[in-house]
Amino acid sequence: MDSHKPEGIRLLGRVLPWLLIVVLAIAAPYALPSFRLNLLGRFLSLGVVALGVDLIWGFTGLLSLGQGIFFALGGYGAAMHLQLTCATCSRSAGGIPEFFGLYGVKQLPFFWWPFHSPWFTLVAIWFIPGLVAGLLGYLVFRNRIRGVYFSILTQAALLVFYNFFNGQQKLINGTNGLKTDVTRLFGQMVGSDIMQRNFFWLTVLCVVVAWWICRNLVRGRFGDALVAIRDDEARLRFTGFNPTALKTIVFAVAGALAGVGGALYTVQSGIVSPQFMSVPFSIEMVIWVAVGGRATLLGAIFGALGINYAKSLVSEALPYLWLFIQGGLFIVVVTALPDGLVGWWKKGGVPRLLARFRGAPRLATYPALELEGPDKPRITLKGDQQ
Amino acid sequence: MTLLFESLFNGVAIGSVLLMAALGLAVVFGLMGVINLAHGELIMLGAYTTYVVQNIFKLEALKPCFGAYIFVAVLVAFMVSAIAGLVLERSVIRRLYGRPLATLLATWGVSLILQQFVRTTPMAYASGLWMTLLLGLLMPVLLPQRIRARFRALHLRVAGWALALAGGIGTAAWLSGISRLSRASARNVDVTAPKWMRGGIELGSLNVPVPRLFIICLTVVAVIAIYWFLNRSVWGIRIRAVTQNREISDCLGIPTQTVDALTFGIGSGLAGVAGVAVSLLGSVGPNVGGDYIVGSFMVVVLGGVGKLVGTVVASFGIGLLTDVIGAGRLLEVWPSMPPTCAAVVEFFATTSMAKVLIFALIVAFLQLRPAGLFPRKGRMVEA
Amino acid sequence: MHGNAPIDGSAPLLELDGVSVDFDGFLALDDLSLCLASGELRAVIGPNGAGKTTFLDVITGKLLPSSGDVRFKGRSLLGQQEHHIARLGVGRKFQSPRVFENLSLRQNLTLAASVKTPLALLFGSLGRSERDRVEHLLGVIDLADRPHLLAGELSHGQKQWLEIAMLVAQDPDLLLVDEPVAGLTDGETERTADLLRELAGDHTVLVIDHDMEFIRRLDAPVTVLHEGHVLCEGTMDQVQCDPAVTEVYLGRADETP
Ligand SMILES: Nc1ncnc2c1ncn2[C@@H]1O[C@H](COP(=O)(O)OP(=O)(O)OP(=O)(O)O)[C@@H](O)[C@H]1O
Ligand SMILES: [Mg+2]
Repeated sequence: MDSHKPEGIRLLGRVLPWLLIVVLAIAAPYALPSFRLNLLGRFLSLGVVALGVDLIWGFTGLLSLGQGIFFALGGYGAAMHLQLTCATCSRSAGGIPEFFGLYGVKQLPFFWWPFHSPWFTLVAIWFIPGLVAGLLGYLVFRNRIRGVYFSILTQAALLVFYNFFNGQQKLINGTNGLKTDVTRLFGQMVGSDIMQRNFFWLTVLCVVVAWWICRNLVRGRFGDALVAIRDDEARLRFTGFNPTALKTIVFAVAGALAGVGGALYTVQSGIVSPQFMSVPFSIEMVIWVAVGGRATLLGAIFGALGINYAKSLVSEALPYLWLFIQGGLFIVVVTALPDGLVGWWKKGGVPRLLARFRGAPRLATYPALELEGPDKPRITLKGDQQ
Repeated sequence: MTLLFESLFNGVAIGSVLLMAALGLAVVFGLMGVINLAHGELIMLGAYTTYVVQNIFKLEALKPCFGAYIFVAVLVAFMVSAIAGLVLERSVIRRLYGRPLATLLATWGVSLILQQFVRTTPMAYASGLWMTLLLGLLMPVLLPQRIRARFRALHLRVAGWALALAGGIGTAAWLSGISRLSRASARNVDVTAPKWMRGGIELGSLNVPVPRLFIICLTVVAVIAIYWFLNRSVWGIRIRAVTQNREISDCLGIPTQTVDALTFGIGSGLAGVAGVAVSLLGSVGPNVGGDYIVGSFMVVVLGGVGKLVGTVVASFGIGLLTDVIGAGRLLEVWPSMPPTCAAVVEFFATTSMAKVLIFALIVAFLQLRPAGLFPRKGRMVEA
Repeated sequence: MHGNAPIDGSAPLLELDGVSVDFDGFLALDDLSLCLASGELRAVIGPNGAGKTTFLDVITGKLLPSSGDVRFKGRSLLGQQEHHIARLGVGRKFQSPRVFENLSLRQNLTLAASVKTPLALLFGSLGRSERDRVEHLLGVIDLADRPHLLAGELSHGQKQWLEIAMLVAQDPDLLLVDEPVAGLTDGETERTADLLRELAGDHTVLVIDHDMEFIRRLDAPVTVLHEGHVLCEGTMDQVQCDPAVTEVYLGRADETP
């Protein structure tokens, strides 16, 4: 379709969305009140997570219910660094973060040490979650554990981490989590408006980069192989591919993305806690992608934004209603909109809906007879597509 | 020796609750391939039902037989959860057979709705709603043939549901008189066990709490019943036929829709019975289901999907392990172990850390045997 | 198409040596031995349940035999993973067609033709010859004008053809083809036979089928499998005259009441 348009318009079509994004991103901090900006920044970081979920679930068909692990790991990485480098925060004996004093800990646990370094932290917030995801994924995929078994196992892994982090006061402050909003970075309070603005821009940048990475992953033959895994993994194996390796790679990438999202979310929400690893939150991530549209990257981002925005709106107005709405969304999306909103749009859902209001045209013959032809799409029965 | 018995008993007790919770899943997940994440909420419904029944038995008229309320509760809980399951199957699951991941997401939505439902709806009204559903669903069966034959189907339907609604409203109004049931609350409630259940029985040197014993008995009965149903009754064969090939079963004249509804209803009803057991062990709240759901799934997967024996063995195995690890039994048996080992044992000797270790162990075990303790064999497994 | 020259003219490409497969006491393959020379075209027939598919399962690594050995190019394949075996040069078409339904025809073929490691998939690009092969194959299966059609929308016969084309695109040394013409019309059956005959020489081809006309057209040595072992071998005419073969296909004369 594009090929019929003149060169100039096509170029404009390419550049315009980017221009729009840049303008909106620069303008948003000045246009929005700080509370809304904070929310938007947080939701955008969830968009990064959603991209990862889309990669593994939308394209590859792996429904992970444990993305919260990687999200929290990224968040904890960022929070540990902030707690350590904060010069003005109150300290307990030995110059270690205050909460250690409450539990009588005198020495910084060993794994805190490297988080003194900002560079290490910058790498750790995506590398550690990615590594954990890769290891976990490798172990599971190697044994050809698939489908729902994979989902259940990731959920069990989530609970392992959740219980562990909850129980370890002396190591990472247990249930209370780590606060970041009163820590300082570059001489600014992390929770301040100026920092929020910077974090927002950083988040936008991360979303764009994450989108670009995912797009390159899913576009070429690598992406085709992922879809092939979703279709018929065993067949792919007999063609000479190693699905275990492919799945491990995408799962690790999704984990890394969740880690980045978690870190960004933490610095903007002001706290990281084991609640990041609660079971409902990880399942919620799936609904962002499901509503936005499986296997469409933009759908994932907009799904995360839209659902969370709706959530905050509804919760402000009618707090008890949100869970009903969310529950209903799960049911409706799965039964009526399996491709999500973007998928529905792409498949011509809007014209079809309009047509329905206008009343469908009466057909004299079966549509298949008329449409069949070399360059017209074949009409298929519903069952054939599955 | 006492130690061994105590550990064994605790393990069996923990295991039987797990088994009770997992039994329904073994049917719904193992046989039908439906991932019902709302299973925990069906358990919760059973637990709340126990609470409601208990409060009804506190009324003057019924007070003398308060001791028997628990048996009534088992029956009612089964029906309440089974009805919820039926409605769920008819409305949602039905569209999703053969798409397990879709059922997972949809039932998660259902579980959110059910949780929020018990938070926001007074139990009296909820009871009324269930009474309506019960009467409405039973009406075609209850009415005598003579009356059924006389009216048009549609009229009969409408009249039946209107009657059911009246019954429901009546129930709601009646129960609203009980102050504890008349207001919605997100707070936890406590079920008081009947008098004969409090305390314990001396078994040798062991003091066995009666509620635990009751749960074990309940579990044994439930397992035997479900085993008989699946393997000896004609419905069991039909269920297996339908789950293996829906179209062919349809062609052979098996009423697949009835089979689906029945299987799902029974699986859900078992969750309700599990709810009674759960309510005896601690307080009941909207989130109580969440504590059991993942564990139940692990039991089913560990045992081998579709194998009842596997589920039984796995739940008792996990129960025993939980006790051994969670109570730090190794330290009691071997007090003089090296300090590093002792530190490790102690590290895991809390409920949450025991859970961590057990889940980790299960994941590790599935590395060795991905299909569980009792794997299914044959060509269809690969597909 | 390139042809991997045989390592040694005399050594067989594929060698099954006393292979048995035991399913809980039922011997699906019973001490089966079979040799395929490089470049050979071989047909395998046998009644239902004779063990033909199981035999391919053993070669491609889906099943581990309980005894015996499978050697390909002189190397044992036992215990190797499926994708290793495939990369060594063993390609397989399944009995019921299995294609990637959510990918287009071209994507299906391209995937089969490309280098299979993740890094190559991500950063490498498809070579000239592979691209030509894909385009050529699209023409062969008569769908060159609709390369973007999703494979899931094809008819059963078209799927069969697509899967055969994917097998060719993969360009393995050994092609194992399980019932390629089930559900195809006579014309298509003939074309399939011609295609497979063309492939032989450069490739080694093993064809399983029940369609005797098709097998005859292949004009290749025939191996008859029965109850997990080789009943007899020979040309189509020899095999058809063999009383033992008639017996397993039609039952013994004196058994019928
Ligand atoms: N996983 C398994 N478990 C038990 N028995 C099996 C298994 N796989 C195959 N069999 C048995 O092995 C025998 C051979 O099966 P196979 O599929 O190889 O037959 P076939 O020759 O391909 O038949 P057809 O011509 O019908 O395709 C059959 O009797 C089958 O029941
Ligand atoms: Mg076969």
